[in-house]
Amino acid sequence: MKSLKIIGLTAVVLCLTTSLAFALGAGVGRDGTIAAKYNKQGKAESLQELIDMYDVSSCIACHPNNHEQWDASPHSRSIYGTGRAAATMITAMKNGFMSWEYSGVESTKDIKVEHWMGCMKCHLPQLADATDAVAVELADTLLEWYDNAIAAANDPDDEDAVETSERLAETLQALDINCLICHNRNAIVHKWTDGYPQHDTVYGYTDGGHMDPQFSKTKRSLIMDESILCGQCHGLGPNLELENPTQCATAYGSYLWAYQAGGGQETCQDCHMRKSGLGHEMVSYSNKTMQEMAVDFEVQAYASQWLDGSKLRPKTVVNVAMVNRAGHGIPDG
Amino acid sequence: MPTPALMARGNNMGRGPYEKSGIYEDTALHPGQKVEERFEIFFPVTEVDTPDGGTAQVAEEREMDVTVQLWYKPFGNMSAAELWREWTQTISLDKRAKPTTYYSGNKE
Repeated sequence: MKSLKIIGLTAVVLCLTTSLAFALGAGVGRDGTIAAKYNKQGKAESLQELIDMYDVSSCIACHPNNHEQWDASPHSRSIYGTGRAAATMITAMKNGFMSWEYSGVESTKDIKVEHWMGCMKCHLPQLADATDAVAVELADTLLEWYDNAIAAANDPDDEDAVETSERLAETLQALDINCLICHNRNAIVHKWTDGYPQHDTVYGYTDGGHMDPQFSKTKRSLIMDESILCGQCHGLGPNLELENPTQCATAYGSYLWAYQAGGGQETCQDCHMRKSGLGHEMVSYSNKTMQEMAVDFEVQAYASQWLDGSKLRPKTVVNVAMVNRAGHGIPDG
Repeated sequence: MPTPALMARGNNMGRGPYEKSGIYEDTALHPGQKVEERFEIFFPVTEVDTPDGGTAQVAEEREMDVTVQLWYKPFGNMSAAELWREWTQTISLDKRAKPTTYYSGNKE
């Protein structure tokens, strides 16, 4: 009986040790991240918790211009987009991991965070800081939004469908790439070298204090002005770290192997934020300034003739010359 | 734009990001590289009889309005397409024409 008690005690101690190691993860400082500090599990347990975990409402009062610019950017609607992006997420779910034989997903209740990462690695990287229950909730929210949005479009008098689609669209639009993703969560790529991003720190260009009780420090991120900050999401090609690789943007791959390989020295931020004057709006092909910056376009035309057998046929010759001045292929995709 | 391979195999195109892996063709403009396109547009002609019993082709119009547009098509068609550049000029067959007593082919 005594030996059984010892065995029991040993088992409890081993369990506790394992749990502590899991919470800390690799490297000193991981337990200081926003996710680790948010609750004991280090994971949001609902979509609302995930939204709250990365809430940036306290940034707006002191940074209204940056917020206004960001609000006009696709980053502020990274899942929802114009509705088209959200519909594509559903396609990725239905035609992708819900239809694949070995994915382990037959219905939305089987969905785990890892299934979503093909999309959410970039569209909502903080989903990695949520439980699998949130992955299920996200799937159900997208499907319910879509069904109600279609019903509302077909019958604008269907008040229930209109209210539900608008409410769920609001939830989906609150899941975004906001201040805390670039200036905290993703501000450090080499975490074993530079440390893990800390929950009370805003990462930018300076070290010091910050007038926000929740984020009371600023710290220099060594990649805040480097293209790799953007490259985390804007794509090398297949995401080979995934069980079933996906591929969306390839701009960063083109940047490295075509632009920089050819001697290009500008960064993403140089063109999309500074030279364009777009700041945190950082849009691309739809912006007139970016369009002007992107391509040299020259046309020359003249009248000439073509020998058609024994007859001359008058024609116009049009020569078009274009040089891509961007740091990546145009279009990307 | 890049033509992504379907699941990184063969030359079938993957459409959704969930099935795209790799690139087997890319028609994009690449950084720093000059791309030149040449277009030849024929004037509409009418065939007429010539006094020597032959025929000649005579342009129905002496001028052609040419417009070149550069469109960015995010979905490959005109959905959400953006007009990046537009160039227009009237090309005249007579602009550099000079009187001559020696005709080749295009007799009137």
